[in-house]
Amino acid sequence: MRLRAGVASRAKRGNSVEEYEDAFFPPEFLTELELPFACAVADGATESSFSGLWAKLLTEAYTQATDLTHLQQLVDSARGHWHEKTSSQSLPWYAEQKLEKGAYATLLGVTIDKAEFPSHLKWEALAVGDSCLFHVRNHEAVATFPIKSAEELTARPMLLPSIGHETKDTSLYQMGQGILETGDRLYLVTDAIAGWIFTSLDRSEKPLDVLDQIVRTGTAECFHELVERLWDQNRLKNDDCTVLWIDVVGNPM
Amino acid sequence: MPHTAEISRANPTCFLFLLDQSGSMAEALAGEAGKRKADKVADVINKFLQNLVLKCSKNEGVRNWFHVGVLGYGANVGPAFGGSLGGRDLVPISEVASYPMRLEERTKKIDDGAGGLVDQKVKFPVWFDAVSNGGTPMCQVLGQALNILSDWTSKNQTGFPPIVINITDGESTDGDPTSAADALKALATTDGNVLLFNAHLSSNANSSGPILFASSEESLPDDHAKLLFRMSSPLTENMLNYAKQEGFNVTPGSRGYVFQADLHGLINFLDVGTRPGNLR
Repeated sequence: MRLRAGVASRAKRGNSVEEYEDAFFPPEFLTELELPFACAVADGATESSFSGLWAKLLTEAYTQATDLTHLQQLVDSARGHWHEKTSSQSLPWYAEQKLEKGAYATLLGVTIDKAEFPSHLKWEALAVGDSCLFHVRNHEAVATFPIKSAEELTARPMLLPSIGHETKDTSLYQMGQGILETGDRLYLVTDAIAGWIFTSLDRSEKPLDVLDQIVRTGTAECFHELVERLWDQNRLKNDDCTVLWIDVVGNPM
Repeated sequence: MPHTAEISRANPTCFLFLLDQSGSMAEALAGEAGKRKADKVADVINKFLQNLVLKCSKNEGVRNWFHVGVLGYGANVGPAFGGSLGGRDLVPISEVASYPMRLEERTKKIDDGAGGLVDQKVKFPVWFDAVSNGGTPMCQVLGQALNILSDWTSKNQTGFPPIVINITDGESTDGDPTSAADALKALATTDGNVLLFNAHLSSNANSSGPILFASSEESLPDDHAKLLFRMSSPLTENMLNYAKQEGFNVTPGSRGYVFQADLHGLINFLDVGTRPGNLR
């Protein structure tokens, strides 16, 4: 099996591209990926400052980590990088106090590797907060992680802070896994898109087929058109939108 | 569903405080000897403004999600901001951020990491000082609020409706404020009517303790408290849900009326309409 990955994103309506506060890694469309392959999305909290930067640092940390302990070390290092990049000698009082409060973001990372039995791959996922993975087979979601329904998408998800330090307590991190077959696809999405998928499925619609069209065209414009249309129809929360997909194709690696 | 509009730079909302500055505000709050009501209220509103500025502070600066005003009423009735903002009624939050009257240095207790507390110096912005002088011309200030918000709602027709917070310790000295309050609450955007909340700071303690978000007049101690209760808007559905989550004892009839309560409780409550889910 081979892997292909791609990504589409859109800043919330009314915001500029520079104000997009989701993040994803790898940063571009990729083919012929090597195993193990790691990717991640993160959603920076609106109420915090420099949360887009923090989200980006978290996605990079995930893709470099070998296990949870290593990830926690890398998240601590990322806190140092965030502090270095945001600190300045002459900030107005409010920017200074805002930085003291830190930035916050969700994190969803997935690593794909060979499964224990032949001709299959496995995915292992880690999540903090409400960014969500959809495992799709034959146009159906055979698994979702860590969110299972639209009702679980609240305004107060768990978030990773850019201040403080990691502790031995790992209960913040949720873990999931699954087996991949040829033809399967994984979507990693931030909460607005997850909400649209879940509510559409509840209405017996086919949002995964709609996303499939986006993947097939592979153009950012198609994703932007979809998001704009859903916003116009009040079907999608006005929020930054990110979809990262990984396809399992072809022969065994 | 009303009172659910998205709050954005293109679609802001506003907070307008009506602040009793009558002579009786120099008295101590019941149960808090030595602390003048006027000083306590000034601290709480300045703190609220500070938190609102921080909420709107982003990488590139302060986003104008809110317009904010403070009208004082006592010997004089009108805008209470001092310094560069003096004389202005509703001010975009980015200008509030840029022009506090002064930055005071205060101390707060923080965790020392070893089970104790240590003092830390913090900057505390001040936009207006405590005043306590004259009567309680509540009808007049409600009339001024009506003029200001008539203009605001006509210019921001799709915005989350303004929230007016009247903080007072005494009876109106220029007549029954009911009709002026009704006129204010009749103002609306496409997202619903203006909300009027009342915080009642009596010098006389209530025998059964503070009252938060009362749902009927029966539990209130006097006619003035009952009048302020009737003037108060019911809590919106989102506010009721939030209040329940936070453990408040509220029912569908609960109103934005607090009696002798910790003002921080009321002020924190204003966060409800401006939670991250609504901010863009």
